[in-house]
Formats: sequence, structure tokens, C-alpha cells
Amino acid sequence: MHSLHLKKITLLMLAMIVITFTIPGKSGARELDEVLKAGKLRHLGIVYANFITKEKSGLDVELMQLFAEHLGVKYEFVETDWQNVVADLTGKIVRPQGEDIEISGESHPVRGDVIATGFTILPWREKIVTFSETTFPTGIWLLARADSALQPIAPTGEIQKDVDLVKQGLTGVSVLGLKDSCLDPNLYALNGTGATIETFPANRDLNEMIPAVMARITDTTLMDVPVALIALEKWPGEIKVIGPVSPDQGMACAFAKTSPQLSQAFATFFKELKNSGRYKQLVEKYYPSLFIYYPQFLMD
Amino acid sequence: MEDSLKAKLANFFQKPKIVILIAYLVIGTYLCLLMAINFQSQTALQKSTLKRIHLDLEKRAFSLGYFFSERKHGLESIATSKDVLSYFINKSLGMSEAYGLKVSLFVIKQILLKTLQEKSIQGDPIYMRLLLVDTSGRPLIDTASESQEAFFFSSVKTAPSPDEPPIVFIDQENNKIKLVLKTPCILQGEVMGSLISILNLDTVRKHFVDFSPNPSLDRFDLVSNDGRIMRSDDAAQCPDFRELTSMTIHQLPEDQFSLIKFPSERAHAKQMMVTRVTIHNVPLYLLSWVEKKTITGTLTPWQSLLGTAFLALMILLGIVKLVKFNTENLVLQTRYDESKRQQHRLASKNQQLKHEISQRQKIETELEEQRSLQMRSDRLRSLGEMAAGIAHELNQPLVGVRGKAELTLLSLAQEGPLVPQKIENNVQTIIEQVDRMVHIIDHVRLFARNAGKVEISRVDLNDIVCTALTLVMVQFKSYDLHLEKILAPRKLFVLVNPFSVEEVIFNLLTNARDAVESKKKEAGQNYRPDISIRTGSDELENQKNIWIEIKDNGSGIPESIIPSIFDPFFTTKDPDKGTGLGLSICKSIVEEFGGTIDLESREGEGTAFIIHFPECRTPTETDETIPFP
Repeated sequence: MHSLHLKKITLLMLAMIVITFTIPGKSGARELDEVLKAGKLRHLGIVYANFITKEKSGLDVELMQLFAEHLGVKYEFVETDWQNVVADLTGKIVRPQGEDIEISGESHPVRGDVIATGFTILPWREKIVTFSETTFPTGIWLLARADSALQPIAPTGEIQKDVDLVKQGLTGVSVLGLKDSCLDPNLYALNGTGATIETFPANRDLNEMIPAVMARITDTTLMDVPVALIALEKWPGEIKVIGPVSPDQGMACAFAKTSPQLSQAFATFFKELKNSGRYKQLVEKYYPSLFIYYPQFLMD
Repeated sequence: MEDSLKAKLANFFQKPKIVILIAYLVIGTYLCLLMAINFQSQTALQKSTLKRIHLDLEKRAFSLGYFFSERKHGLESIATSKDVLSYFINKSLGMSEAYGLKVSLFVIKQILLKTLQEKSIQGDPIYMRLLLVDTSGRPLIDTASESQEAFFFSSVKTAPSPDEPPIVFIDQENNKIKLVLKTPCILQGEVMGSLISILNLDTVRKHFVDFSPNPSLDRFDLVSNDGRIMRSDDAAQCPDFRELTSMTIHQLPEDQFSLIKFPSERAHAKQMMVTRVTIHNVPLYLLSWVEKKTITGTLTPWQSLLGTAFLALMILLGIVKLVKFNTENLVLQTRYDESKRQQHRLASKNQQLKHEISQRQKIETELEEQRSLQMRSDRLRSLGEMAAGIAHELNQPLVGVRGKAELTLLSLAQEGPLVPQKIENNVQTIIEQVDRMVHIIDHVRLFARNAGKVEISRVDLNDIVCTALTLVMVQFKSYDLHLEKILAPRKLFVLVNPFSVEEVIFNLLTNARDAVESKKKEAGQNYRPDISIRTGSDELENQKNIWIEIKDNGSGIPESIIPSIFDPFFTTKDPDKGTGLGLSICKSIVEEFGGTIDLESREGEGTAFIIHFPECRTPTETDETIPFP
């Protein structure tokens, strides 16, 4: 009798295991209906400049809160980091290989429905996520200490020429970057410039890259324009901008490839937000000087 | 000595004219004192006003100096701020606007715009425009809107030196004066640019220059060091200072007012009192100007003094007039009051008089009644006196009647029937005698009824005398008195009541009788009483008069009582012999008919009463035409 009972239990467990592994489950970010059903929008973000501040406010936080309100669901902030942000959205561990990606077989739990964190649109990222239209213009500048021998370039008026001028002066200069992010030196063909590429530890706060330059840990650092502008205000006379290392870029919200409806819903929402002028007010709130450099942004 | 002096002084001051003179002197002195004080006050007031204006000017200048100081410090603080310096630092680091510098400029502009908006005085902005310019004067930041004119200050082109403090200067562009504050932006001892602010002149004027508690009294202007006036548009009220050269303004002393005449094209040249005060640390003056007449008035103190003196004189004269008027008024008032009192007294007296009159009238009425009674009584007494005469008069015809009647009876008895003629003769005689009695009785009745009445008629006085004598003749005979009657040969017409005149004659004859009887008692048997009555006429002062004289040789009337002889109730007889009214009644009767009664008497010799009546003639009657009786 006892053994029969035991057999039954064992069989039940095996069946459950089989079901678990054989019946294909729903992996990846949720679609719109699931978000609506769940009644909650999970916002993946990294504390980064004024996109997401330490206080968990910022441009992207307010943007996502408005989107959740638009959907009629609650808002939830899910903190992540640059290493795991894509995996947190897609459930897949992805590593960039130039402009291409490498997806590892390991699975990763999906923790969010949308990435909005000053997320630069990069070619490799576009292969794994669906970006919304540009929510923020950007670019990558090379920053150095004020007393650096490296001199800022004289702008030519053409961004690519300016990039070339910058690269020309990088011989023997250490350049700090952050792998797998928009500040990844590999993205900007710096390897052939004679510069010494240094990688900022992934587990460190990106905001510490510039202080690292000031601390003479490195000669220069790559930095996106919004953060560079803030840094220039924060440390006047201590750092200087050498010039651009990338053409103009854009930041946007990222959705999983498996969430087209959610992506579409955001597109609709964002269009309304832009047309009403509220988005511009939001941008000016957190980046008042943005439109000095990108006067055409939001002009369409 | 002292007493006499005091007395003299007291006497002196009691004289009204002296007192008034002293009063005028006191008032005059007082007015002179007032004028002098007024003159002094005017002068002091003018000085005080000018001093107040100058003090006010200094305060304003101080306020302005403080204001500019604050602006300089404000500008300096911006120029030395981290934001401005970071720009220049970044610039010095070689950064370009395309890559980094724009942010600094943006931040600086935000600061300048905030300054532009926030810096105000009671809502009026202090700054019109703020600029950050480079050493070449090119604007790096300009708070001006696109519609405003481009920045171009000739004076800013000159790069300031690091040691140059913030300065205020006036820039005149297109005939517009701008009040400009400039401070250098210095980095490491080197001028990198300038921070420029254009002050809102209207705000400065409004809050530091133009406001005045007495805008009609004093006005102010900002003036540059070189004499340029930062004038308002209120040119209608502002003197045309363009007529003043900058040098003139520059040479104006600072601690006092100068009198400047404006030979303007306007109708009246103005005299302005002008002074200036330097504003600390800025190349500006504060100019104060006020029309002279506002301080001094249209009159100078001396003119005012003369005017006041004239006024004082008029006041003095006015007081004199007033005093005089009041005195006259007082007199009039006193007289009026007195007349009022007199009126009251008069009214009271009137009332009293009326009462007395009514009392008197009452008494007179009673007296008249008494008198009338007395007169009636007297008349009755006269009638009584006449009774014997009347009886005698009646007796005679009665005897005749009786005689004729007895004769007739006797004839009838003796002779038988009488001849009709004889009967007729006897009856006729009886009738005549009866008529005579009737006449006598009628006369007595009429006398009793009409004597004393005023009905008059034109009668012959001789008839009246005869009638009166018939009544008294018997009486006189009984007294064995001789009464002589001498009547005028013609009719003597008078306008009287015959019975009243009969009464008079009767009274006078009775008095004459009493007089001779009285003398007879004293004189003895050798005395022969004589009473006469005469009538006649005469002419006195062209007036024809009829007179009656009743004369006796009786005892006469003592001279001492002659004046009282006609007084009512005056009598020398015993009370039972007379009431004393007889002669009074005679006089009143005579005078009632326009006549007079006089007497001539000598005590012991006799008395004569003469009565005059105005003769009553018709217009055609003459002495020749008046018939004889």
C-alpha cells in the first residue's frame, strides 16, 4: 500500500517535469494585453544622468509613468544595469560582436516590459530589441582633463570630419569606455587610432567615468552628450571636450521583439505627447540646454 | 504828591480820546511787530525751503549712489560667478561652442534673463538689457529680443583693463541716452570680456529722480559729468536746459542754489534756482531746479513787507472805523433801548392814563350827572325862587278871570240877560287872561324842561330880558327892590337858547337881590338898594356884540375872591342859601353860546355883571335895517 502511494507521487512529479519542459512556455517580455491583464507596466532603468536619477526620478521615469497612465495600468520601476538590461527585457543574454550580436543559450528571467534609460540606439541593439522613435538626441564626445595636452578640435562644421580630427589626436592617449554600452570604444573604431582603450568595470556606476579622468586614472573618457553637458556644468574648468567620436545618435525606448503591440501603443502615446508639447517641456525640465545643441529636435 | 500824580494819571486816562489813542498805538505797534515777524518768517521759510530741497537732493543723490553701487556689485557678482568664469575657462581651454561652450552660454543667459526679470523696484525692471561681450565687443549673450536693435556700443570696443572697476557711463546712440554699467570679466588677471547692463532710465527716474512730494515745487534731473541732461519727455514742464551749456551746468556750485535766467522764446523768461550734487562713484550729477517764484512767491520779501504794511494800515483804519461804527452803533442802540424803554413807559403811562381818563370820564360823567342834578336842582331852586313870581303872575290873570266871571254873574243877576257884545267882551277878556296864564305856565314848563339845553335860535335879547323880568318883578317888589330896565332901542339878535339866557339873567338878578339885601342889613335905613338891567350893542375888533349889564349897589365882591367867583361850588352863602353853582352855570351857558361874562365889583359899593354875545345878523341886516321892537 505504502509503495503504491509512493509510486503515484513519483509519477505525478515526473509528469509535471515533463509538462514543464515539453509544453512550450511564454518566455520574453509581455505583450500589451498581458501588460493590461497584469495591470502593471514594468520599466527597466539604470540610474543614469537625468534620465533616471538616484531618487528614481528623471526624464525616462516620468515618460514611463505617463505611458502607464496612458495604458491605464500601474507603473513599476525595475532597476537594472548596463550588462543585464537587454536580458531583463528579452530573457536572452546577448553580447555584441561589433554590429552583430551573440545570443548565449542561457535563459534569463524577464523582469521588465520596456527599457527607457537613456538607451542609445545602436545597430547591435536593434537586432534584439525594437526601438521607438528617438526620444532624445545624443552623440559621443571625448572628454579630457582641463590640463590635458590633448586640445579640443576646431569644429569644421561637418561631424564626420570632426570625428576624424579627434581620432587623429588620440595617439598615446588612454580612452576609457564601457563595454556593451553606447560608450563601448569598439563601436567607434578607436582601436586603430593609437589610443589605449581602457574598459570601465561593468559593475561600476557610469557616472564615475568622468571623475576617473579628473582623478588621472585615465586621460580621456568617452561620454554621451547629455552627461557631458551636465559634467561641464558640474566641473567647470576641470574637464574639457576634445570633440565628437560619433555622428549624431539617438536614444529611445526599447521593447522586446515579442511585444509589437506594446511598442505600437507607445508610438501612439509618444506621438500624442510630442504633439501636445508636453514632451518638450519634460525634456527642458531635465536637460534645459539640450536644444542649444539640438535645436531641430522635436521640431517635426 | 504821589496821590496828586495818581489822581492826575487817573484823570488823564479817564479822557476817552486819550484812551482810544493809546489803544491805536498799541494796535499799531502790534501790527508792526507782526509785519516784522512775518518778514523774518518769510525769509527764513525761503531759506528753509531751499535747504530742504538741497537736503532732499543730497538724499536722492545718496540713494542713487547706493543704487548704482548695488548694480555694480550685482554685475560684478555675475561677472565673477562660476558660470561666467567656466565659460571663459572652457574657452581658454580651447573648447568650441559646437562642443561644450554653448552650454555655458546657455546657463549664463539663463542667469542674465533671471536677473533681468527679478531685479525690479516695485514692479519696474531695473535693467533693460544685459549682455556678455567678448574683448572685441561682440555680444556672446544678449537678453534683447530679436526685435530690439543690435548691440553696438562704441565705447565698449575699448577693452577694459583688469583694474577697471565697474563703471557707469552714458552712451548716446541715435539721440537716445543710455545709462550703461560695464564690468570686465577677468580670468587669471586677463580681461576675457565684459558684462554690460543697460539700466532702465525710466525706472531710475521714476524711483530716484522724478518722484517728489511737491512736484509743483521742486524737480530733479540726472546730468552727466560733461553736462548732458538725461531729461524726461516732459519737456513742457522742464525748463529748456539746452540753453544751458554743459560748462554752465558743470560750473554750478554744489552747496548752494544759483539763480539762472532762461532767455527762452516763450512769452515769459523764467528764473530758476538750480543746484547740483554729485552722485558718489558714478559720473553723474543730480540736478535740482525750482522756479524762483515758487520759493519766493510772486512778491519779494520787501514787496511782501510793503504789502503787509499797507494791509496793516488798512486794518488799522478798519479798526478805527469799526470802533467808531460800534460806538455810534452803541449810542444808537442805547438810544434805541432807551426809546424802547420810553415806549414801554409811555405805553404803561398811556394805559395808566387811559385808566385815569376812564376813571376821570366816569367821575366827570358822575360829576356831570351831579352837576346836571345840581343844575337841575339849582334850576328847580331857581324855579322855586321864581315860584312866587310865577304865582303872582298867575294870580293876576286868575283875578282877572275871576273878576270878569263874577262881573258877568253879577250883571246877569242884576241886569238879567246880558247883551251879547258884553258877554263877548267878558269872555274875550277871560280868554286873554287864560291865554296869559297858559303862556306863563308854558313858559315855566319850557323853562324847566329846556333850560340848560343846547338848542339855539335867533332871538331878540330884549325879549329874553323882558320875559325873565316878568318872572322876577313880583319877587323884587316883594322885597321892595327897585329894578331898573334900560333896553336897547333896537332888536338885538343873538343865537342862543332863550330859556338858558333867561336862567342866567334870573341867577344874576337873584345874586344882585341877595347882595343888596345883605348890604341893606348892614347899611341900615339910609341905604337905597338899586338893581338895573341894561342891554346894548357895541363893536370890538370888527365883531358886533350884544351886551347885557346887570348891576347892583350891593355889598360888592371882595377882590380876593373875584378870581374864584365863577368856580363851581364856590359860594359865600350858607349851604342852604346856595350850591355855589349859579355863576358857574351862568358862565358855562354864556360861553356855550360864544359869549363872555365879566364882572366889575368893588367891595362895599356894588357889582356889575356884563355879558357879551356875538350879534347874530343876517348878511343883509344893518344897523339901519334891524327893526326896532
